[in-house]
Amino acid sequence: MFGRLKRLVETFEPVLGTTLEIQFEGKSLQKLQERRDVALELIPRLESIFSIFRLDSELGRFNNTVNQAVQVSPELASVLEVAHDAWQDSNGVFHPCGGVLAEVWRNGGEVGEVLEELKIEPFKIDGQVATKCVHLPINLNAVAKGYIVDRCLEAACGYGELTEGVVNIGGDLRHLGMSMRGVTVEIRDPRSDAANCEVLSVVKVWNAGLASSGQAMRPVMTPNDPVSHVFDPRSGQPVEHWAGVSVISSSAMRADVFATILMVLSFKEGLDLVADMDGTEFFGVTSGGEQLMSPGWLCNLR
Amino acid sequence: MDERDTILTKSRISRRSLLGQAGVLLLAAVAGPALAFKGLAAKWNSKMEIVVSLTIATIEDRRVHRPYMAVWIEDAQGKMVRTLAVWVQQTGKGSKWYPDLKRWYRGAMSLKESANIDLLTTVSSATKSAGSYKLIWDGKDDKKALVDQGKYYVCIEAAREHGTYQLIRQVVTVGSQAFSTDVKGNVEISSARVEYRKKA
Repeated sequence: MFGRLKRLVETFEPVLGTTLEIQFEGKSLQKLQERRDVALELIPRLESIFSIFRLDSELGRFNNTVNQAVQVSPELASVLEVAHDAWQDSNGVFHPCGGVLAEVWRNGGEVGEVLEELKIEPFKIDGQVATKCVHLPINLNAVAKGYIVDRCLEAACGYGELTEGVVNIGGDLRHLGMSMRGVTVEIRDPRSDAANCEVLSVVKVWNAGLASSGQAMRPVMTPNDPVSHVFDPRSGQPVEHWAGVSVISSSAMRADVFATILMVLSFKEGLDLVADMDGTEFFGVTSGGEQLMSPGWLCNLR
Repeated sequence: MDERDTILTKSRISRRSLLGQAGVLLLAAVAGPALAFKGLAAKWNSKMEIVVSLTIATIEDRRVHRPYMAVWIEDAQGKMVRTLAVWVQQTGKGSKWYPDLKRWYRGAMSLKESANIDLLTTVSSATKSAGSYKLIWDGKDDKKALVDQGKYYVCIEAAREHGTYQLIRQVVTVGSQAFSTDVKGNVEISSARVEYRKKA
């Protein structure tokens, strides 16, 4: 149909502190390289909006305000809106300020005071005007990485030079393509930090996103024992029942948000959450090693 | 890769393979008598594993291509026992990137993947930091059979288009004692470490 297709498969690091893999397919290698450059150029700009490590990022500047209406960029506005919806729809299981809990635990502090502030609406967003309502810093990492994956791939596909494309940043990925083939994704054992650890599930992702969240890579070192880096923002306690969760959804950003929420929820609660969401399915490994999945995950198995 | 590069690499290779063959001959001479007792050699202790940790050389604040890489195990005779990881990239149409990992490519039995018309399989796991990789060898060969204790080479090969070709072959002797060895790095792999330990 397209003659012989060319393929560009490249891995870069460091990108957002991790690894970026692209796979583009199209008629002209030169065009693929041009589209890759367009996608890569987006990353530093988006990073300068969302980075929590850079005080001069747009989010960093927004974090310095309280109860003050601020005009924000369209990119920050979209991600804030998604984060706000996720916070509201999950009844606070997803919390853009939840990252502060890791900080409190790391320093061996009491979570009581923070919990009070976590009960308040963290910010308001109306179009491109945002108002932060709490003193806690907002962290959009659980949404922004997926958002950047989606934006990169959409930018690369924008002019029709790609017949198929995949962008994968540190395990959060998105596929877009005209063929029915999709991309095969191996879900690795979340209990291991080895790059060649066991593959627990193999799924086909087709015009959709996939994201994983897990325990193995980043435990929080408290003055006592290391604890999970996942916290329930409602109780302030670390959540240990999942070693890792992987989610397929319509975009990498949605998958990213759901992976964060599902890590906090029990299996039963997770099933209820995804039951009436078309195309959102998950696979989880409990800390004890049990593998559990939503029924629709089976339809994606390779 | 331009013509000049290819010629340069070829000349480098032929020298390497000559040295390699000499090494194999020498090893065969040493290993010869021991082979007679092969049937008596102790099996790998299934409670133990080898962990290969490596760090890819990166330039601060700069995004770079990851080199093509292969990490595998060879026995004392230089025969491939187990491939732990192969990371490739693809620019253009063919399977050009596999042969760039020359030693691994020569030893690998199957090239099935290079003929694959689908997109390459990609991986999802919890986010890991850039540049550092850990690979585990459980003492099994590519056919999943437990190997004997003894002498093995941990091989780390890295190649970069318009860049350098590097090969690390670290010899280890697997017995009953745990050990840990730091491996000297190169321009592509800044540092590496091989640890023989109780399974985590």
